Formats: sequence, structure tokens, C-alpha cells
Amino acid sequence: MKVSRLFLEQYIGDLKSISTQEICDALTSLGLEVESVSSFASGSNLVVAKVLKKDKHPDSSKLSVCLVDTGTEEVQVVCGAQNVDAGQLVIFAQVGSILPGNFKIKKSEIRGVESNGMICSLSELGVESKFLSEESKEGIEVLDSELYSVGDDPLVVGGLGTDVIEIGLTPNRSDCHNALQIAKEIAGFFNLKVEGIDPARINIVQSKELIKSSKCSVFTLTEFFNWNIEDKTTNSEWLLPSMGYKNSNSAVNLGNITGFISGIPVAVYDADKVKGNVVVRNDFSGKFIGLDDKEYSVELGDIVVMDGDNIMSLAGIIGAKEYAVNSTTINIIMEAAHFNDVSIRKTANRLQLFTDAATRFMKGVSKSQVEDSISSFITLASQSSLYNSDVISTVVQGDLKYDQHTIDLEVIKINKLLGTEIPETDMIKLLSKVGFTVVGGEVFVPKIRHDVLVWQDLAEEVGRVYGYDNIVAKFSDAEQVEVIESAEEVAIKKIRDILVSCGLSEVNTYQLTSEMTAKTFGNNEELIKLSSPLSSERAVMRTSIVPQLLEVIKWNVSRRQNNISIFEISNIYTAGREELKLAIALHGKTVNSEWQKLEHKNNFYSLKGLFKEVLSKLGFAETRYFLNRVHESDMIIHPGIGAKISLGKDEICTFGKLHPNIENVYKVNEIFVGEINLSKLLQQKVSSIKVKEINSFQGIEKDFSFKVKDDVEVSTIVKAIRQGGKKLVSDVVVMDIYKGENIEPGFKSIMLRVFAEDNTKTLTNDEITTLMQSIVVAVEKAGGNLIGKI
Amino acid sequence: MDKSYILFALEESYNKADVKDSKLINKLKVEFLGKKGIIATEMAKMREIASDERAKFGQEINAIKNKIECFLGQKLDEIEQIELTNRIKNEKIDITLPGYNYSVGTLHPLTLITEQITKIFKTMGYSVVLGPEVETEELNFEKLNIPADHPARDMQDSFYINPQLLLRTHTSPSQARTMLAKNGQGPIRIIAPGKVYRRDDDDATHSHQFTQIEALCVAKNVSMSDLKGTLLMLAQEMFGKNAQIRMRPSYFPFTEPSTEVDVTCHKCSGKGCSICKGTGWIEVLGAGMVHPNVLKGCGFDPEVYSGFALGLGVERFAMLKYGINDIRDLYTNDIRFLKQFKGEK
Repeated sequence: MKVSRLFLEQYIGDLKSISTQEICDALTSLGLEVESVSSFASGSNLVVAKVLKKDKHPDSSKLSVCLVDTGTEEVQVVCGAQNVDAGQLVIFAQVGSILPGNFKIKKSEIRGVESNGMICSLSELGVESKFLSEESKEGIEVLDSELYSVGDDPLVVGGLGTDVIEIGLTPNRSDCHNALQIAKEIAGFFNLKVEGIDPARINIVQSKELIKSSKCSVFTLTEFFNWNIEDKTTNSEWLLPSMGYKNSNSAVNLGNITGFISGIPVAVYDADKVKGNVVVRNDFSGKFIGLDDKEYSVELGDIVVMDGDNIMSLAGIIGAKEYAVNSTTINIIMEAAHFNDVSIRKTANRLQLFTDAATRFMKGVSKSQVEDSISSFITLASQSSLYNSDVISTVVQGDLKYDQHTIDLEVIKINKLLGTEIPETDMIKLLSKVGFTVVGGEVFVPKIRHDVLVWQDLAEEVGRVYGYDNIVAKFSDAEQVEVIESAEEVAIKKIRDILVSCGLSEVNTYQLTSEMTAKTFGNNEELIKLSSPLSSERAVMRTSIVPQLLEVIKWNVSRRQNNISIFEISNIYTAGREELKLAIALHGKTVNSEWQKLEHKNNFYSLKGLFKEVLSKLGFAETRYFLNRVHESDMIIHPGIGAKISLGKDEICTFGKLHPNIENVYKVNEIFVGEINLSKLLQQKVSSIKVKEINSFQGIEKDFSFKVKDDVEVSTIVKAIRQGGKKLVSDVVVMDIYKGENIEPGFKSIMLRVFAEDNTKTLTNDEITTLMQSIVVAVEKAGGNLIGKI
Repeated sequence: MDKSYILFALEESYNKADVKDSKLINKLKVEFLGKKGIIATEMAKMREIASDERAKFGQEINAIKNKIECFLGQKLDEIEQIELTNRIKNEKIDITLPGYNYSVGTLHPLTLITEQITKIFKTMGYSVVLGPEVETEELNFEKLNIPADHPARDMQDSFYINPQLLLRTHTSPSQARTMLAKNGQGPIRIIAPGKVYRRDDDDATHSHQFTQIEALCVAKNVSMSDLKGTLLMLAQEMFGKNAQIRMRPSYFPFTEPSTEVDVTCHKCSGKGCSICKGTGWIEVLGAGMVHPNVLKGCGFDPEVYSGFALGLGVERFAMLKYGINDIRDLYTNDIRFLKQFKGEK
């Protein structure tokens, strides 16, 4: 919403002494956020000058040499504009001027002729071209000699240099789409008076033929005869442009002015072009050419104002060109109405046509404003003698009356909510500043403020006028509540701690992904699909975190970042299910030092170790879960280098080397990924820690090497050792796996270190020998032959 | 008999030897203290000595033996010290060679900010609640005083799954969920961090997915003064003890009164700079007193209970605090970007 000082000064008498900055600060503290302040036109050292003489440039056919009178001196200047002529009043930038874009005017010589300044066009002063007439766009600006005199400041006299304040309105303050309402707020803040206009009386003629749509609650038409279309009084130079409107004919200008003093957009039509009965409908489809010369299609449901079978306007959005008021118009019809905001929003969204009128209706205007707009229009038209008819009557369908809304002034409650101690009399004064009157404890809400409904709304009014800055900050003494930490919260923290300390970085990726990715990485779950996604790449909720981690690896690797250890914890959604998951992805090395020939490349076992650490941190020792191979047909994990972790009956994690097919898609090799279902995991019971007494009797450690077939897994041998060792084996550590020389093909050697102890005594040599024999026998049964002797 | 000649002999041998390493000391040790050494030879003479003088003789020899041990021990220490010094001199390495490159883990900046803010609120007695991202229209809008025709519910602005279900547009449904679970009985103090979604195209300042933290306090006699105190605490913990806040009237459907909250610009300390566009203030969050319709709709009597709520964008805090210019950097996860947060708590 734009509002200019020029407008504000017109309606607030004593505003001149208040700076624009002060006005902006006031607006901000009142809750009307100032987005920007700019000058409509700007430049320093400008003066209104008269062109005394224009001669041809001796060395150019396009340039003229002019002599101008600035009021203090006569100056020679070279001008390139075609429209410059002797006798004109022009805007003259003297030597030393600085124009927008930091354009400095210096004394110069143009093709051998001295030039001491510049005669300016409005674009050179920063005026947007949309506000300029064709003449003004082409050449220098010629000023009206009735308004300007030589020596004047051209930015001040007609308001050309006025400050334009752009306000970002919150949805509740749609009343401030009415610029006069903004003026009232400012005036209230500074204790000034707003010079309103006395509303004219309206001669109402009731009708039942105007509205044939449920989306229009009030519709009125007022006809004016012998309209003076060329009248310039409404065209007060820069007032309309500084408010964001282009100057037009007197009827359109007046409609716009009415808009910003009553808040409701009004439409004007050429009365003589209306042939049939004017009716509001929403059951029509067809096409029409708008005022902007573009064709629009109307669909069933759109509100239209019809003249018989012809569209006069797409209601509240744009008029039809056919009915436009132009220089040949004699009689006009002014329409003021209230249309359904939701319907207007739908139509405007479909056509992507957000005209000023549409924006206002969409933000919601009050039905009560219709009457204001009719009377304002009539008053202004009659003040400027724009029409010539004795009696003006308005045809109306719908109720123009406004039911005064009142709210009890709850002084105590308001103070309690704000944390203030404002006495009742002060509260009444504060409310009166923004247009609320209080009579006998009842607050009369201004009709334009349809956002104020309950005492809490009044509290906001009191608060914002009182100033939020004046509310004391205190540390809440309200009742305390016990702080609870959920199992999830605790688990997430622990996982982050352990993984970061293991050298992994946490990442954060998007939840939305493509349907194909979701299907590839999902488990045939029903997908959560967006009904209207922005792109097919972000169309469904992801079924796994893994693909996003692969994207992260791909991104980094393509930027020569080759060592990536990352994880992400996120909720994963499938139809009917929300599950917290942790995914880890590894690529490249974790520790390296090239010159020392030292490196640790990530592999299946680094990933396995990370999951082991995570599980143990969450209270699940290795004895609580078991590993299975992934299925041979697994599409994501390499079947030979992948595993599933199960806890009880629940499979909670799949991890391993990324399947070569997927590696090809992401064009990165040697990626190790895994995902763990934390929701399932956290449902498992965690036993509390019971400390095992440290054995005070010394144990033994003994290394064994067994030859086994290639496909025998270490766990088989370890299990056999534990069985053979009865309860005495306390730990088995894998020391080496060897294939090659001295071991026949198809076999491997496994070297294991066995720790054994008895917590009741020190083992004797005989007992140790028996134990070792028992272990060897057990391993033999499991398919392992001892290499060498015990 | 005077045995001090032995000491003279030792001294003489020592000086003559020009001792440079411990070997010579050891040689002297053998010569004087060994099984066949001078002391042993002297001791052997014991038998030849009259029994009444034996004790004195023994004492004398022992005293000399002690002196020799002491002397040689001392010399050995000296030599060893010299040897060590020499060895250390030769053990110099090139300290400029690079150290190992350990993979160092970092938390994501959004986690860091979320954790920092969560910690602040926990000290003020708030518990964390986590709500679902796929949310019902009722909880995302209806219960928060955003009626069916409200522009905020436009299909264009949110990711709908079906007319009743959408990706939550804010963390505020967690407010409604918590209040409904409390059956009209306060007090409530919760914060709800989480992912939220808006139907925006991604650019430097917009992201279709972002992170919010919602705080809600509902109790008897909660006022805007309490809200202001809480906001001030948050601002000062996050942006330094000198940070001040400014509350500007604003509008949210679920609060009344509503406010936008600015904090002193951390770059210029409020003097005005390019970051704060010369105002000295930076907008950081929205807040307000819980709207009576929200309280009512969630089972609380607005004449008994009042409350405040605030919602902040974690990305915005991260961008302000760490000087990040493009919101997409927070979702790209460039490892060089992430590694910069190594030292952050």
C-alpha cells in the first residue's frame, strides 16, 4: 500500500512540521510496517526556469542552444529534446546538480557550444515511465505556467518530490487499504485532526433486479449526466501518481480518489453504452476485452456485471473496454458494490490478474464501506461541478445499513493481558486516538474496523497506541511445569554425540523427492503424494533418507571433496506411518596421512562398527541383536556385502555397500550406506546396567589359527570357540584373516585370540590344556582345522 | 690400616680415563666393586685380621665401598644425563610435516541453533514436543483460528496431500495437539521444533522446506509482560547480553494481540548498517497472546487461562548468527560448509 506525503498533507492540516521519518516511526509502532520510503522524483539544485530563446545548434541538426532564465541569472544551455521551445517553463538542473543514479551536472561543451546545466525530463528525475504521458516520455517536461513561476523549486510546488511511503499491511488491517484510514492513524498518533469530507446524502431507489448471484451482497449504480470528462480539478498533478495511480480522465480519477478515501473500489462506465438491464451474475461463461486491451475468459462461478448478454466488467477485478469512460463520454454510471472476497480471489488467481480493485476485495472490505464510497464520489463530483443534473439517485439492491458493533470495555482484563496498569480514563483516550468512542463502558467500533470483535482485539488496540515499548519485560512468575525429556529426544542427542565423535558430519536434506526415487528406495509402501507439487522432483514424501545422502555425496565428490562421512536423522512418512530413522553414508577415507602411507578407507566394517556404537550407546549390546545377510535380490545393497540387523522379531536396520546398479546412477563408487529404524528400536526394552564384578583371578590369552573353507563365516568359528570353552571364554578377538601362500585355494586361515578366565580361581595348566583341546574339538566340528599345535 | 689409598686410586683411574660414556664407569665399577675387585680383595683380608679389629676393619671397608658406590653413581648419572641430552639432540623431527587428517564430525548448523534455543527454553521450564509433519487441516488451520476461506489456506500456498491432509505449514499445530491433550488443565510450557513446508520456489531467501521452533506457555495470569521477558531472555542468550528487543504490533490469526519482534542488529549494535537497512533492528520472530478462539477450540477457558506463543525460523537465526547469505546452503550440505561449524557448541 502506497501513501504519499502529498496525500497526507492534503488531509492532515498540521503535518508539515512532522518529518517523514517521524511519520514512519509512528506507523511502525502502530503496527503498519513501513517497507520503504522513496521520493516520487528527486534531484538537487533544481529550479523552475523560463526558456527565453531557442536557437539551432551550429553543428547539429538535433540539438538546440537555449537561453534560460532561472530567476537569478540567464544561462546558456544545449538541449537535445525536440519539444523544447521559447516561452516554456521547464525544470532546470543547474551546474552542480545531482540527479538520480548519481548523475552530476557539470559545465561542459557540446560540439563546441558551452552548456551550463540541463533541461530535464521527468524520467531523468526518477519518475517511473508508467506514470508519464506520451509527451512526457518523449521529451523535457513543460510545466503549467498557472502553477509554477520562475525560480520555484520544481519538486515542491506541485508535489513532484513528495515522499512515498510503502506500507506492508497485515491481513487484519485491510481497512488501511483506504489511505484516509492511514491518515487517521497518523493524525491520532500525533494528536492532529483529519480534514474529512462531509458525506453527501444519497437518494436511494430500491431495486430487486440487480443481483442474480449469491456472491454479491450489495450492488448500487449511480448515474451522472453531462459529465465534464476533461475537467482537470481531479487531476491535481502528482497526487494520483504519487499514490500509485496514473492520471486519467476526470471520472476514472475520481473513482480512484474515492477508492483511497473510502477503501472500496468503485467502477465507472459510459452510461450511453449500456443498452439493456445491468445485472450481477455468476452463471455466465464467455470472453471479453479488458481495459488493459487483453482478452479474458469468464468461467461459471466468476462474478460478472452484465448488460444483457454483454460483460461490463469482471466484478471487482477489471472493466470491459467496451464500457470504458473516455474523452467522448457524456453520461457516466458509477458502480459501488460488495463482492465475495473468496470468489474474487479464485478468479484473480486463475487469471493471475491482481488489479488494485481485486487486491482490495481479496483482502476483504466491509459492506459498510459501500455507502461511504457512494457519498464520497457524489460529494467530490459536486464540489468540482463535474456533472450537470439536479437530482442524483442511486439504485440499490441489498442493505446499506451498518449494525454498530460494540464491545464492553474490560479494563481489568485488558490490563491483565497486556501486563499494564492503564487507568480507564487513559484507556478511553488511547482508543479515541484510533477512532473508537466509549460511552458508558461500551466501546463503539468504527465501521471500517471489522477486524475488531472481542475485548482481546481491543487489548491490541490499547496496546499498540500505548506502545509495546512501554510494556515492562518481566520474567514469568506463572506456575511452573516439570521439564520432560522424551525417549526420542534423548536418543537423538546420544546418536548425534556418538556419530560426531566418530567423525561423521550431520546433514539436513529435503523430505520431498521424486516418485521414482521414493519407489526405488521404499518398500512398496503406499506413498504420500502431493496433490499439486511444484515439480516432479519434489512430488512425494521420501521413503528413505538414503537417496538424499547419496545426492550429498555426489555433490561433494563432484567438487573434489572425496572423504565424506555423513548422517541424518529424520522422520520418514509413508501412508499411515511416521517413523524416525537414522541413515549413515560413508565414502572415501576417515583417517589419512599420505606422506606416512597411512589411511583408513571406509568399508563395510567401518559402517558396521558405527551401527554397533550407536546401538551400544542406546543400550543394546551386541548380544541383543543378530545379523543376517541381505536378500540376494536386494536392489539397494550389494547382496554379498550387506547385512540386516534384527532385534527380537524386528528387523531394524539394513546396511552395506551400495548396490553397483545404484552406484552407477549416482556415478560414485565405494559408497557404504545404512538406515536404522529408530522408532522400532526405541520400542525395545533396554535393561538397566548391572555391574559385573571385575575378576580378581588372572585369566589367560591364547592365539589359535584355523583353516576353514572360504565361505565359512567367522561368527561360526567364534560361536564354536565359545561352546567349546564353556563358560570360561570371556572374549574372542579376530586377529587376522589370511588367504594365499601355504593355504590351498578355496580355504582361508583365521587367527583368533581367545581370552579365558575363571572368576573363582586361577586356571591350572591342566585346566588350560583341557580347555584348549575342547575348543579345538568344537571348532573342528564347525569345519575348522587347527593350523600347527596347541 | 688406612684404606683411603683406594679412594685415591679410584680418583686417579677416573681422571686418567677421561670418561665420556657410561661404559668406563661400569668398567671402574667392576674394577673396584666387582667380585674380584679391590674392595672384594680387601674384604678377603678380613680373615687375616685379629678378631677384635675385624669389626672396625669391616666398617672402614664398608665406608669406602659406600663412598665408591656413591661416587660412581653420581658420575654415572652425570654421564647418562649428557648421553640423553645428546640423544634428544639427534631425535629432532620436522614439525612442519602435516598431521593426520582425521575425519572430524560436525553437527548441522540448523541442529546447532535448534539445540541452543532448546537449551534456553529448557532453563525456563519448557519441554520439547515433536509433532508430525503430515498434518490434518483441522490442526494446521481450523484449531488455530484460520477459517476455511482464509487466504493462508489457499491451495497455492501449501502442499496438500488431499483436502484434509497437508504438510504442516508451521509448527503451531503442536500447540493445538498439546492443549487438546491437556483437557483444559494448565499450566503448559512447551517448545516444538521441526520441519515445515510452504509452496515456495527455492531461492536465496525462500525454501519449500524449512525449520521452525514454536514456544507456547499457557497458565493463569500470563501477560504480554511475561512474553516480553521471555523474548528478551531468548534474544540476549542468542545474540549477546547487550541485545535489546523491539515489539511491533502485527497480525497472526492465532494470537491477539500479535507482535513482530526485532532484535538489536548484531553487526552495528543498533547504530544502523547495511544488514539492518539502517534501522538498527533485525526482525527475528513473530509472537503474541494466544487468541481466545484458539484457547477455546483447544479446550481452555480464555476467561481463566491466558498464554503466549512465539514462532521463529531456525534458518533465519542461523543465517543471522553465522552470516549465511543463501538459505539453500543449509540444504546443500557441502562438506566445506559443514566443516566450518567444528568449533560451535
